[in-house]
Amino acid sequence: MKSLFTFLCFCIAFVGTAQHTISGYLQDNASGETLIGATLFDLKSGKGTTSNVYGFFSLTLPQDTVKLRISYVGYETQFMEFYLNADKTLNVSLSGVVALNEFEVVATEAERIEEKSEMSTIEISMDKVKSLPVFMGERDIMKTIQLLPGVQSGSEGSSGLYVRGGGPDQNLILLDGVPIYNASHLFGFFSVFNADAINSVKLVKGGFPARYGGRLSSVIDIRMKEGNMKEFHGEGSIGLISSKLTLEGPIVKDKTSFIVSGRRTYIDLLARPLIKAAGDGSVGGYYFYDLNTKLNHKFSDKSRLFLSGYFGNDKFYSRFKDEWTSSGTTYKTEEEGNLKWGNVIGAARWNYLFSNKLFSNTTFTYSRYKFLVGFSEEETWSGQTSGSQTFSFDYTSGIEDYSGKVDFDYLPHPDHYIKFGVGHTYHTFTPGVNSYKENTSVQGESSIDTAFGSSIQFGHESSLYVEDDVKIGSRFKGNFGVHFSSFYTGKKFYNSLQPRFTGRYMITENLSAKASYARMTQFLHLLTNTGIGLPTDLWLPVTDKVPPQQSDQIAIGAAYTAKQQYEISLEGYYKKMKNLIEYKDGASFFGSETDWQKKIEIGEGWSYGTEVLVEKKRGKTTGWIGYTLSWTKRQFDNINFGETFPYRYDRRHDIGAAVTHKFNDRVDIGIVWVYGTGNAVSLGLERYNSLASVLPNDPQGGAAEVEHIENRNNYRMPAYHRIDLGVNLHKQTKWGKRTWSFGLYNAYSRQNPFYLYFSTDSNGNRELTQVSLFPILPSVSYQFKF
Amino acid sequence: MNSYRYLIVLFALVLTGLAACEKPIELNAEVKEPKLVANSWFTADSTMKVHLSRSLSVIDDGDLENVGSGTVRVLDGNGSLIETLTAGSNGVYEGTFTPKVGQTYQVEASAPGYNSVSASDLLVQAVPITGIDTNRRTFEFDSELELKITIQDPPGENWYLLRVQTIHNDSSFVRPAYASGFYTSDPAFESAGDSDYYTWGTFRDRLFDGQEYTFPITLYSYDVSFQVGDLVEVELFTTSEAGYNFRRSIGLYQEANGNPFAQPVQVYSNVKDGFGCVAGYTSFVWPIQF
Repeated sequence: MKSLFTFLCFCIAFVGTAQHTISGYLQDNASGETLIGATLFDLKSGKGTTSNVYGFFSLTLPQDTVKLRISYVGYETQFMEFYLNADKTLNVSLSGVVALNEFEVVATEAERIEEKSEMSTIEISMDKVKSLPVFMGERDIMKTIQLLPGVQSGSEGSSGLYVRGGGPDQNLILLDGVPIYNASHLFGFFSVFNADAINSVKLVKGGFPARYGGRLSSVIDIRMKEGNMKEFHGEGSIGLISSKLTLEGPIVKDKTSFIVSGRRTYIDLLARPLIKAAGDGSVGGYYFYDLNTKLNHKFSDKSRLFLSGYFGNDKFYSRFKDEWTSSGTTYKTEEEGNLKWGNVIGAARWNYLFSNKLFSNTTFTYSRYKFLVGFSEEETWSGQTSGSQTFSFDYTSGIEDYSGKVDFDYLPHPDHYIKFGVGHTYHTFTPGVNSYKENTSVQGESSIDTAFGSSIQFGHESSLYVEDDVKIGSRFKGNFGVHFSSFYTGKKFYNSLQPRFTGRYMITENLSAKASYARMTQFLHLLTNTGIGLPTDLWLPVTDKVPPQQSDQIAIGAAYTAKQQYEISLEGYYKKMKNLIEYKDGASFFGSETDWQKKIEIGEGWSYGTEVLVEKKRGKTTGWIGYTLSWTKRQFDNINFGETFPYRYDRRHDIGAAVTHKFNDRVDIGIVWVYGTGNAVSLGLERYNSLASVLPNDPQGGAAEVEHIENRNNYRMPAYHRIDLGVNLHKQTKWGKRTWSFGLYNAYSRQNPFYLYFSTDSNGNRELTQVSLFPILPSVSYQFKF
Repeated sequence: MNSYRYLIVLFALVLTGLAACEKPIELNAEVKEPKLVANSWFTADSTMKVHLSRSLSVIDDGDLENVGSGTVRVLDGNGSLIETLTAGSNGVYEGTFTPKVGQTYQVEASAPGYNSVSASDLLVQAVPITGIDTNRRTFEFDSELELKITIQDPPGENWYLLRVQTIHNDSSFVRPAYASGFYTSDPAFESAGDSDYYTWGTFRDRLFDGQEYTFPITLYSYDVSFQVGDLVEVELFTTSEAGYNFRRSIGLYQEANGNPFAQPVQVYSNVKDGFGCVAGYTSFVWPIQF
C-alpha cells in the first residue's frame, strides 16, 4: 500500500512538473560548420543529448535551473546556466581548442565510449586523417579506415574495404546520405573522397541502427563540409601526382554558403611530351579528377536547404595514327582505346523543424556509376581506289539510382531519441552490355550494328524504419529498432523485416558491457573475381533466380576509459551471411555474351572474431592500435566440391597502429604500422596429366596437364606488413598557413606480396615467384590554407 | 575478341607500370611426393584399359612420365578379382574382359615407389536419343543447323555428355571427321564459359528427372556447309556422376587456363590416394545423313 502511494505521488509529481524543451543547432564558431555528435548535458538533472548530422539537438527538461555543459571533441567546452521556464531556442557556437592552444590536442568532455549505446562504431577525426602519413601524398579516408580493427584492406595499395568478413559490395558508403557504388580511383589505389571537403566520417561495423539498411557488413557515413558561413577561405595542396583546391565562403553571411573542391592528377600531362617525343604516332595516358560542390541556405531557424554534388572520373586512353602509301593508294588508320569509369551523385536536402522536438530531413538523390571499355578503329584509303572501314566495340556496365526519402528525429523526452523514416529508390542496372558497330564501303561487305550480353534491369527498393535510443535507469541505454525493406524486380517481390538492437550496461563509472544484434538484407550483388577492386566488377540486382543477401550478426563487448585519456574497447562477433554470389569455377567477366546469372553460384559465409581497439585522444601523442583475430569462411554447393573454404581475405591476425605526435605548433609527425596474415589464394601444388577426352581416338583429345588445387584458397601468401612515416612542417604566413608534408610509404621497403605465380628460372627450375608493387615510396606535398 | 585482348593489354600495362619487383620465394607448403595417376574411360564396347602415370610437385621440373612397372587389378562390385591387366606401351594396361552395363568396377593400381591407388565406378545403361528434328536455315552470309534432340530420361539421377561429330564425304578435306562445336542456351546445360558454346556439352537431369526432354542445339556457318553424303553424328554419352564431374571440370580447366581473370578450377578426381578419373560410359549415336 505504501509503495502504491509512493508510485502515485511520483506520477503526480511527474505530470505536475512542467517540461520545457531546449533546442537549436551546434556549430563551429569560426566557420559556422555543423558539429555532428556534439554533447549537451544538464549537470543538474543528469540528462543529456547529442546533435544529429545536421547539428540539431533537442533536450526536454523539467522547469528548473539548468546547468548545461556543451562539448565536442577538439572544441572548448561551454557551460551555461539559466532558469528554464519556457521552451528555448539555443544556437551554440563552439571554438576549436587547437586554435587556443596549438601545442596540445585535447579531447574535452565528450560522450565517452562506454556511455554510448552503440557498439562496433568508430568516428574518425578528420584531423587524424590529415596528420597521418599518406600514400603518394594523397590523404585518404578509406586508407585511414583500413587501420581500424575489423576492417581489412584487400590488396596492396587498394582502398577497398572488407569488414568483418564481408565483401566490398557489403559496405554502404554514403556521401551526404547518397550511396557511392565505386569509391576507387586508379583501381583502388586512391579513394574518391577528397579529405579537404569532408566534415565527418563514421564507420559502423555491427549493431546497425535501424535507419541504415541495404548492405550487410558496414556503413561508412561521410558528411561533406557545408561551406564557411562567416568568411571566405580556401585550402589546397600540390603533390607529386595531383593537386587540389577547395574554396568556401558565404554568399550571404550566416544565410547562404558554398564549398567547391576539385582534384586532378597530372601524370598524363607530365608524360605527354615524352610520349610525343617518342614519335611513333601513339598517345596515351591516365588521369582522374573529382569535384565536390555544396550549397546551403538557411531560410530560417526552422528551414534549411542543401544542394550537393559529386562528379568524378578515371580515364585510361590511348590513340594511334598511321599513314602509308602503297601502289598509289594512301592508307590512313586511326585507333583509339578508352577505359573509363566514374560516379556522379547529386542530392537536394531540406531540413525542416516541425517543432522543437520534431526535426525532419527530406532528401532527393541521384547516383550513377558507369564503367566503359571502348575500342575503335578507322581505316580510310584514297588514290587508285578509295573507301573506308570503321569498327567500334563498347562494353558498358553500371548502376543508376533515383531516390527519395524522409527522415524524422523525434525527441519527446531526454530518455528517448526516436528516429523514423521512409524511402524509395529506383535502380537501373546495366550489368555488362556489349555493342559492336562496323561500317564499310567495301562492296560485298555489310555494316553491323548489334548489342549483346546481359540486358538492362530495373528494380524498386523501398524501406521503412523506426528506432528509439532509450535510457532505462541509470545504467542501461539501448537502441531498439526495426528496418523493413522490399525490392520489386518486375517479376518477383522480396521483403525483409530486420530487427536491430544494441545496448550498454554501465558496470562501473568507466566500464560498460555492450551487446548487439542486427539482421541486414541487401538487394544488390557485386560480381567480382579479381580481388583487387577493378572497375569491371558488376553491380547486379536480385532477380527471381538470385535472392537477396542476408546476414545476422551478434556482438558482445566491453568499453572502458582509463585515466580519462585511453579508450579501450573489446568486442567479439559472429556473423552468418546467406545468398552470397560468386563466379563459377573458370568464369570471368570476359565473355559477357553469357547472361551473368548463368555464371554465378549462390552460397553462404561465416565470419567470427575478436577485435581490440586502444585509442588515446588526449595529449601531444595521440592515436590508436587495433588488433583483430578473425576467421572467415564461404560455402557454395558447386565450388570446392561443396566443401567450406576460407575467404580470400580470411585474415587470422590483423594489426593497425596509427600514432601522431605534435612537438609544437610547427612540427608534427605521424607513424602508421600495419600487419596482416597473408591472403588466401588458390595455388596448385601438384601437377599431373589427365585425359582431355572421353574417347581414346578423339581428335580433340589427348593428355592435359593439370595443376591440382586441393582446396579453394588453399595457400597463404606471405604476411603483409609495412611502416609509413610522415612529418608535417607548418608555418603561419601573412596570408594564412602553409604546410610541407614529407612522407615515406613502406619505410623499410618490405616486398609485400601482390600476387604469386609459378615460373621457371634460368636453369629451368620451377619456382614460386612473388610480385610486389610498392617498395619504399617517398612523397612530398605542399599545402596551403587561407 | 580484339577488344578483350586490348583490355588485357591495358590492365597488363597498368600492373606492369606499378609493379616494383618480382622475386622467387620459398614454397611454404609440404613438397608433395609423386603419386600414381590412373585414368580410364571404360565402356561395354571395348576391353578394359587403364592408363598409369605419375604426378609431381608443382616445383619439380621433371617429366610426368608414364608408369609401366605397375600392377593394375580390376575387381567387381563385391571385391572379387576379375582380372589383372597386362602392361602395354605408354603406360596403358589392358585386360581381356569387356565391362558389362550395370556392373561396378574397382580399379586398384600399385607400382614400386608409389602408394597404391584405387577408384571404382558403375557402367550405366545407355539412354537413347528418341528423336531429332532438324531445321537448316540459310541466310545471306551464313547458315545454321538447328537440332531439337529428344531423350527419355530414366527415373533417378542421370548424367550426360553430348558431342556432335561431322564426317565429310570428301577425301579432299584435310580432316574429314571432326567434332563440331554447338550453341545451346538450354537451362539443363551447365557451363561457366565465355558463351553458350560447347564442344562437349554436359548436362544432368535435375530439371527433367524421369521425363521426356527435348533441347535445342545449333550449329553455325562453316559447320553446316554440308554436301550430299556428309554425315553428322549426334553422340549422347550416359555416364556416372564421377565421369560427369571430371569431364565438366577438365573442360572448364582447359578453358580457364592462362586467363588471369578467370576463377580457379579444381579438376575432379575419384582416385583415392592419387589423381585421375576412372569412369564408365555408354554411348548412343544418332546419324543424320545429308
